[in-house]
Amino acid sequence: MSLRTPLGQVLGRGSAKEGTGHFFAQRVSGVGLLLLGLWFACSLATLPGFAHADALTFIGAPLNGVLLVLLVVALAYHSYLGIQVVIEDYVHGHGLKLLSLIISRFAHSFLTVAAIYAIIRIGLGA
Amino acid sequence: MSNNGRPLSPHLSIYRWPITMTTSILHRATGVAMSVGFVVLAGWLLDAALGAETYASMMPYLDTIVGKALFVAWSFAFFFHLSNGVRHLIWDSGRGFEKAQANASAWFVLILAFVLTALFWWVRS
Repeated sequence: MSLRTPLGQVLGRGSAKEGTGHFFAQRVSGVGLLLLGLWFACSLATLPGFAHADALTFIGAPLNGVLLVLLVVALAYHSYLGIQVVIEDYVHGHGLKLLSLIISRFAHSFLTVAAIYAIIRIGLGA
Repeated sequence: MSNNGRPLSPHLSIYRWPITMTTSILHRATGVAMSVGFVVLAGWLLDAALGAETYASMMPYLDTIVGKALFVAWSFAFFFHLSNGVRHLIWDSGRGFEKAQANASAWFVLILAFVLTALFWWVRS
């Protein structure tokens, strides 16, 4: 007995081979954020203050800069995957759904690049 | 209608809200809330990079009651999503699915999230 749909059997294209891709990416980025997020929370809790000089000292330290870039990338990826599921669940209509997904991807890309640009700029003291 | 004592499908007036539903809804809500928080994080980094004047022009907005309330909400969202995320990882390994276990872990992550949020602001203060 085959679990394939009749249409699937006729078309004979087989599986797209990416059934668990989204699930797995969400978990792996989640584990990364577990570590990076805890580091960031501890850093924010113990930062001397939030004046401009305090921010520059924190962001400009080499290890902090590297970890911040990792945090931003993992956060953006995890956030995009999560928002994608929310859009797929709640936005009906093919066109509007596709448009929402594209806007979400562009917005996440823009925020990621802007944040990395800022971190590098501060790190280089430019 | 005879149903031999079998449970009826959920009926609004007699429906008992399960705690696992609260944690499930909160997981998604806190996730979306932190996606909004990502905009603020990127804005903070960018304003810091653009100089003292830009940075100073942003700070008065964050220093309002609404701003502070948002940061408390985001900190809770972070600690809840993190705790409940670990709960999901444990589920992914096939453990903890029994009703009693799921209810207990739901209460555990909720209370843990409140404790961690309080701890964060206690260290911060």
